[in-house]
Amino acid sequence: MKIELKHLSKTYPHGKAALKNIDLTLASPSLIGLVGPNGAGKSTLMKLLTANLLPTSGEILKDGSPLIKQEKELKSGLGYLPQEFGLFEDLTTTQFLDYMAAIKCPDKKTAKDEIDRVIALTHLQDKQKAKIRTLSGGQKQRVGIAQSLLGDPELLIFDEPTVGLDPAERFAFRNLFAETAKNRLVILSTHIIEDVQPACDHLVVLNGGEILYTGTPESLMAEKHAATLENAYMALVNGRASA
Amino acid sequence: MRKGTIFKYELKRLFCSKEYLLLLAVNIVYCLALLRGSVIYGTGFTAPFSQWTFCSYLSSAAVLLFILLLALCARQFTTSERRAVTILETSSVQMAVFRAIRYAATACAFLTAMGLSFGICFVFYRLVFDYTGFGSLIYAGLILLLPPALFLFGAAMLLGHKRQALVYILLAVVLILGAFGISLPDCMDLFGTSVVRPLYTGVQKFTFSNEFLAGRAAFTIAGVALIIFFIKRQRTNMSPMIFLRKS
Repeated sequence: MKIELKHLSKTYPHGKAALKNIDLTLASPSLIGLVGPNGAGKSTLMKLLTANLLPTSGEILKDGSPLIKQEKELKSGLGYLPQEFGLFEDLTTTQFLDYMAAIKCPDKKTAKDEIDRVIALTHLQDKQKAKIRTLSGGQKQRVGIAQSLLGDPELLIFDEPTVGLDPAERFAFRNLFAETAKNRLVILSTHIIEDVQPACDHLVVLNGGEILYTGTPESLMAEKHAATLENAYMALVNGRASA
Repeated sequence: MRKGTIFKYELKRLFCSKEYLLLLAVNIVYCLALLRGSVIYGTGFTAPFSQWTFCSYLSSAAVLLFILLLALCARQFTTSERRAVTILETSSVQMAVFRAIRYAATACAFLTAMGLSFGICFVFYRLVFDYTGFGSLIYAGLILLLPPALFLFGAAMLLGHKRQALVYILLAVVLILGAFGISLPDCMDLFGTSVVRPLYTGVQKFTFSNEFLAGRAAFTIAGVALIIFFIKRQRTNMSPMIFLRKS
């Protein structure tokens, strides 16, 4: 899968320019880290990529064709975890995943296999029968990640997926994202820089609606003569030549 | 999309919800109290199983039934529900079909509560009076309850899409109208309390007034129009994507 953003801009009706003339190519297999400070335009970009918003100008191409013409195809192969998501709290973990699988999987057998697979991937085996309302924030986050993995989507978009997870869980999920990205396109929006360096093979830094940097985390560190990606990122965002 | 599975879960979520079970229990207790306290004596010197008495019984039970309906509608607009629907909107699910399934589940839950109100009364008629001619009673009951239920359902969707609190305001209005017996014109008579009015002016044969029937027709048309509008509406956030494609 290849997604191309060409001269993409988004200005909201109240006049705020969230994205300004973005040119970017995202191709699978890859794990792309999308980072930037609050208000950088990350969530707007996510909404544009999931066809929940229309650009003000420019276009998004999926495998060479405009996204607007293949919204259904995009969504049938999309796994998405929004930053602020809700779950049906009165259902158990398995019931909720079965509900979501009813949308993504064509038959019961496939759905059951998929539910078992994503439960194992997200280590929710001991919470399968627990009501979602009884789960902790981190466990709910895992259920959110599990639902996005249902149906083995070719494009995965995670908006701040590791928020609320403890360090061990974050480590496990970074590995899961890296593993998942071996044969598909995964876009990881985060403000936790530590999540990006070990997992992502490509980094996109957004600030004020513009792309400040696109390349590998290592090349950014080299460019900014920084010992850590966090220092390199701070130098980039603050407009310094080196860390 | 496996519609049956989604419908099953939506039904389960409604029927097992605390608010539904609580309001259903209150409704049953209230219906039993009405049967023993007023229906047994008949309305306006008519038989307890006359259409007059049955409509009087239903117009009293309607307040709680409509509150139950609005409480079920309000559930769809909690922050958690809205955010869960955001995930669904990025899937390949046809939102119109999904909403139709949700509305159908809500309708089933309401019709179950309404059916129980009917059923309790019919069991009472059968046991106490050995009366089984329920056909005309069902017909009158459906005309009395279904049109305003459709209207309130549609109005709740309209208000809920703006703000969940507005559904609760509508619920409070219904409660106040019912609790204080505020009299409305026949055409706007939500609970059907005006149906028995002719009985006290000497009319013996049960009929609905033309004004009342016109009001019921208006409730039905408005309710169905609102429900269809919200089923067909593209998304909660009204993405212009499909809108543009259509135009």
